[in-house]
Amino acid sequence: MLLDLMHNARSIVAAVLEISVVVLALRHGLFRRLPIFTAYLVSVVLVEIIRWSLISELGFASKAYFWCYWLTQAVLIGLRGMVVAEICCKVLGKNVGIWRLCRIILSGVAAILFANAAVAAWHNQNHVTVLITILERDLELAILGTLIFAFMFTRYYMIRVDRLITLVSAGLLFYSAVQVANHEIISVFTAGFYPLYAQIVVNSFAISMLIWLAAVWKPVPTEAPATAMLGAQAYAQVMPLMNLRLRELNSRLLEILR
Amino acid sequence: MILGPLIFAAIASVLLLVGLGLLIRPLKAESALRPVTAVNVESLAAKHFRHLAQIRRALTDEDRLFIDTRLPEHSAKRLRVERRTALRKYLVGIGEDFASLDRLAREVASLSPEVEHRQETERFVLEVRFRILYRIALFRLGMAGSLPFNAVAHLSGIVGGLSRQVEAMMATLQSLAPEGPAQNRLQS
Repeated sequence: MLLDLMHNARSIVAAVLEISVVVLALRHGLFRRLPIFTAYLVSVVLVEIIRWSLISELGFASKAYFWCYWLTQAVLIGLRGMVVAEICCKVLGKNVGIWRLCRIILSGVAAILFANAAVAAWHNQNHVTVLITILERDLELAILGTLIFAFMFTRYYMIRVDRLITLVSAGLLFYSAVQVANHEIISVFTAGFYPLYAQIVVNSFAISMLIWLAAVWKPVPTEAPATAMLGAQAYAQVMPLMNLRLRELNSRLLEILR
Repeated sequence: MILGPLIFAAIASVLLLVGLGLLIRPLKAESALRPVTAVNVESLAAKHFRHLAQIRRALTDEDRLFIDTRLPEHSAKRLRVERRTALRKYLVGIGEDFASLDRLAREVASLSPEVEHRQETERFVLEVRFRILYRIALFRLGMAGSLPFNAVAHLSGIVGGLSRQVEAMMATLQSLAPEGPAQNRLQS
């Protein structure tokens, strides 16, 4: 009885949180900066409504709910993947040269991780539930890996990332990291039960929603104008020289150490 | 049952962190450099290499015999420690010079419409290699107490030469760059 009450209370709080984030996002013009992420937030609420109506009509154990749950889950993960692409583009896209370089590497990282998901799915295609769970885990890993690489690039090239993008990415990273950790690491320690970790897993999406609430709490700032580029000759002159001198430095250091 | 994998995970994490620390952790001077709205080329220019003449005495051991024979033992020891400290500071300074120039290179790359995959990969590999070798050189200085003067002077010369060339190049580029954020980010 108490458990049911707590579960219901948590569901109500989560629903209120999701609706609040969508309302604030629409009101503060998030769709102008991040249209795909806004579509994802709206989809989360729509999916919740569809799932709730199916549960109340057909019950939790019905086949229709089972398929509806996993199909909507696939749609949401697909949208999350598109949000990652949108964030990468927003963060790195203004720096044209870097973006051309990074998108090849980021696509490579994403392709490897997606291929990993496909291989895992291929090996488990006889068990639908296992297949979907593994696919979901690996797709979350692909989302996590791609975002981490994108932020490594911003750090390496010292590209500024504004508060909105940072918070949106933090929410995505947190949820994906918890899901991956839940499947990959904790399954090793099946003998133990960690109440705090269990609470984090159960409430991970609500925690992400809280992070996104902070992102859309204030009116969304307008996008900074595109960075003016240097002439192509700057790179062509500085980089070969820099690399030549670095090679010299390294060979001199090696001589010292011999 | 649980301790086995836990200990394994802990040891693997420690080894991974140590390895990453040696390989890709930025130098202390690099960590201090944060993204800023404007990069002042003068503030990024290498400076420490200019003090080579002042620390020449500390780097050479020409007067070692004189010090060992004429000075009391405690004074000679103190002098050796002070010289080692000066040499260490100089090497740290060379590292800072490298960090500043490296930052400038990254800024130029991020503001360039065309970036060559081969150049960027090569620079990244060379940077990682520099960090490893540089740390080993510092470690060796701590253990052995000295480094060959000619080698340190040559290092200083390479960083200095690069700094002068890059400064001259950036001055030319600033005069050619269009008015706007790119020029503001590379203001002198």
